[in-house]
Amino acid sequence: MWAYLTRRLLSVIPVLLVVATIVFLMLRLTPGDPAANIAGDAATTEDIAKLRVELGLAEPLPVQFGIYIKNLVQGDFGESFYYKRSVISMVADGVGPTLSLALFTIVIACLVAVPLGTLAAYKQGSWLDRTVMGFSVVGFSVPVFVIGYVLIYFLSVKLGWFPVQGYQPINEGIVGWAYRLILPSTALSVIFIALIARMTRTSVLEVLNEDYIRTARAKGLASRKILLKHALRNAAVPIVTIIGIAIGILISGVVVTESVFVIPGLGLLTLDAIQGRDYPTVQALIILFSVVYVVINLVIDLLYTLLDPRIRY
Amino acid sequence: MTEPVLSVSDLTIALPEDGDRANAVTSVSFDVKPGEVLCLVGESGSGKSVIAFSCIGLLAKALKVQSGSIKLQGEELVGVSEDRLRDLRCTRIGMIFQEPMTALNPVMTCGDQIEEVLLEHTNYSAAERRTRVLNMIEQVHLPDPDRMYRSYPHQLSGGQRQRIMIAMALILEPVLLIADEPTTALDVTTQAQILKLIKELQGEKQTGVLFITHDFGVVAELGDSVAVLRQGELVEKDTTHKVLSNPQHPYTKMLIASVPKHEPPERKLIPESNKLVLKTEGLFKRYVTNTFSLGRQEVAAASDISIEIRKGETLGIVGESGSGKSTVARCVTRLIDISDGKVLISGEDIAKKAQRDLGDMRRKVQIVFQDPYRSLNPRRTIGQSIIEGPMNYGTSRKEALSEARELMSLVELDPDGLDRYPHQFSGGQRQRICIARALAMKPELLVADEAVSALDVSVQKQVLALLEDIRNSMQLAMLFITHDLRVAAQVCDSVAVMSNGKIVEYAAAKELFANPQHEYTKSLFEAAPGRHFKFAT
Repeated sequence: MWAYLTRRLLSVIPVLLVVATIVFLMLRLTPGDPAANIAGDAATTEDIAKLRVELGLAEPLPVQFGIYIKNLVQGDFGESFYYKRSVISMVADGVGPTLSLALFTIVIACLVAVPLGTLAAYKQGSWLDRTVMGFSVVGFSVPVFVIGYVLIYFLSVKLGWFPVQGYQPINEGIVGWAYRLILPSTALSVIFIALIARMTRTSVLEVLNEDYIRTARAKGLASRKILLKHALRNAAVPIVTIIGIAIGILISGVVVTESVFVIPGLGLLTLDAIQGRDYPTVQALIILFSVVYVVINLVIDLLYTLLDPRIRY
Repeated sequence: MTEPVLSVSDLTIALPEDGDRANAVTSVSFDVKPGEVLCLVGESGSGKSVIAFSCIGLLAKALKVQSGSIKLQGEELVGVSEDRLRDLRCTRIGMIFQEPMTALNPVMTCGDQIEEVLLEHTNYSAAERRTRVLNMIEQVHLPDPDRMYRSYPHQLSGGQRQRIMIAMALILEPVLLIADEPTTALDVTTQAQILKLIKELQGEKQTGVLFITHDFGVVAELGDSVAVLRQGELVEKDTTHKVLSNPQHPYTKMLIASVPKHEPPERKLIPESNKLVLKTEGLFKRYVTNTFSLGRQEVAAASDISIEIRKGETLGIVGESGSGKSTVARCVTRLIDISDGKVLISGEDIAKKAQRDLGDMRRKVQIVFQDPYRSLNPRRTIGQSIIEGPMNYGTSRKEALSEARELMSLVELDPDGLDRYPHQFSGGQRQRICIARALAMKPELLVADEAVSALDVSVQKQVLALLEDIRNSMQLAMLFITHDLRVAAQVCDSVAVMSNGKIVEYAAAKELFANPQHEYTKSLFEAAPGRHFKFAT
C-alpha cells in the first residue's frame, strides 16, 4: 500500500515535466506578443523591443526554456508580466474563491444526483425515472453560461432573492459566503447532476440484478435497506469514478462560471492571463491544474480500496 | 398425520405473453412434511425454480400466480402482503441459492451478512447477535469462526461460501428450507460435504426441505421423496426409492435412463499401430506474478503433463475446478503459451512455435467449449460461423456451404437452418452447431472442454452419443475434459485424473473405474452422488 502510494506520487514528476514543456511551447508557438500587448497601441518598435528584453523574451527559445525549467525546479514560477507580482501569490489569492465554488458545486451535485439516480433505478420506467432521465439530457445540453444568466435574470434581477454577482471570502462571514455561492454553484452543478445521476442510475440498475440482491430479499430486508445497504455500496465504484471525472471537468466549468458571476478566482485569473499572454501566470495555473488532476485520480483509486475489499494495491 | 410445513395445491403460474408456453407451472400440487426432504427434479425450463421462488414470494415481476394456493403451516402465501412475506423470510422460510460466488454481497463481511438476519428479525443485543452468529458458523463446520466472521466472500472457497449461505438461511431455525440447486456449481467432493451438512442440520431441527435439482445422483443421496416436473407439469411424485428404482412415467424413465453410469461400457481396443495424433512430454504451464509486496511468485497451473492420444482414441482428463485440466486443453490448442515441454501434433512440436506459424496446426486441432450460449457470435448466422474457418483456409464459399449442409445433417440438425441465428436454437442444438463448426475444419484432434457440462441429462446423453458416432466414423482423436466421472466413463478409452496441476492417475478407463489406485481418485469416486444407488435401467 505504502509502496504503491510512493510509486504513484513519484509518477507525478514526469507528468509535470511533460505538462510544463507543452505549456511553454504552446504559449510561444501561438501568435501574439505579450510585450506588444503590455506596451499598448502607442508604443514604438524600440519600446516593445526593450520590454521584450526586460521580460526575458528576447533570448532564444532553448535558453528561455532552460531558465524556465531551472526556476520551476526551485519552485519559482516567476512574476506576472502585468501585475509585477509573484505568480504564486496571485494564484494563492484565487484559490479560495475557486475551491469554494468547486466544493459547493460538487457537494450540491452529489447530494442531488446520487439519490435521484438511485431512485430512478429503483423505480425504473416510472414517471420519476423518465423525468430524471429527461432532465439529464437537458442538463447535458444547456451551456453553463446560459443557465447562469437565466438564474441571474429570474432569481436576482426579477425576484431579487440573490445578489447578481460577486464573492465574499469565508472569513468575512460564512453565511454571506454560502449565500453568494448558491447561484453560481447551482448553475455549474446542473451538468454534473445530469452526468452523475445517469451514471448512478445505470450502475444501481446493474447491481439490482445481482444474485446477492435476491439473497438480501430472501433475508426479509425491506427495499429501502436493500437499496442503501446492498445496492448503493456495490454500485459505488463507477459512481465515484464519474465524480472524479466530474471534478476534473469542473475546472473548465469554473472558468466560465467565474466570469459570468464575476468571482475573483483562478478561472477569472486564467481567462485574463490567456487573453493578455501573461506567460508565467498561464504556466503556473496549468501546472497547478495538472497536479489537481493527478491528485484527484490518486484519491479516487485509494477510495476504491475502501469501497471494495476485493481491490488491493 | 402431521400437518405439512408447506402445502402447494393446484398452483398455476402464467408466463408473460411472449413466453414459449402459456404457463410456467400448471396445476402443481405437493406437500413437504416436517423433517422431509422433497426433491423437485426437472430439466432446464421445467419450472422448478419458478415454484421455489413462488414459495418465498420472490417471483420475477413478469410472472404471476394465476390460481392455486401455497400454504406455510396452514397460512396462505398467495396474495399475502409484501410486509407479511418479509416477516416470514428467514424466520420461517430460509432459502439457499445455486451460485455461492455471486449470492453473497462482495463488499460486506460474511459475519455482517449473517448478522443482518438477526438485526432485521430479532431484538438481540449486539453481543448476543455476535455469539449467535459465531455459534452458527461453527454449526456449519467452518474452521476458525472468528476469522470467518471477518472474511469477505472473495476470501473463501465456493464450498465455504455455500456454508455461509446455509448459516444465514438457518440461523433463525426456519420450518422450511428452500434450496435451489445449491450444489450444482460445486465440485463433487465439496458437493458431498454440503449435502451431508444440509442433511445433518435439517435432521436435527426437523426442517422441511424443498430441494431443487436436476441431478438424480443428488436425489438418491438426499431425497425422502421426489417430484418430477416436465414443462411445468408434475408427471410423477413418490418416495425416492420407488421413483428411482421403479419409475412409472415414460419421461421419468427416460430421465433416469439418461443418467450416465459409473461403469464404462465395453469398448474396442485402439490398435497400437494407429497414428499418434497428440503427444505431450513434460508439459508445464507456470504463471508468474510480480507484486510489489510479495515479490515474484510462481504458480504451476499444469506440471509435467505427459499424455498420448492415438487416431480414433478418446482420452479423458478428469479433475475438480482448479485442477489444471482446462489449462492442459488450452496449452495443447496453443490458446495460451506453454512454459516448458513438448506438444507434438502428428509428430510436429508446436510448443514453441510463434503464433503466426501455427496456421497448419490451427486447422488440425479444433475445440468445443463449455458454454454453447456464449461460444457462437450472436450477430452472425450459424452458417457464417461454420464456413468462416474453411474459407479462411482457402475453401470456396460454395464448397464450404455445401459441406456445412452435410455437417448439419451429421449433427442431426436441419441443413436449412444455416441462415438462422444462434438465439433461435436451444442449448443442445447450439452445442451441436459448435461441434459442426469444429468438424468443418476436418481436424485430426478434437478438444472438448466440458462440452456437455452445461446441458440437461437427456440432451447430454444425445450429444455424447453424437460425439461417439463422429469419433468412430471419422476416426478422430479426442481430448475430453470433464469434471464428471460418469461422463468420462461413458466416452473415454483412457482417463487421466488431475489434481493441483498434476496427473495423479492415468490408466485405461476400464481399469481406472474398476480399480482406482490413487487416494484422490478414490475420494472422487466416493464423493460422486448416488453412486451406491441402484437406478432403474
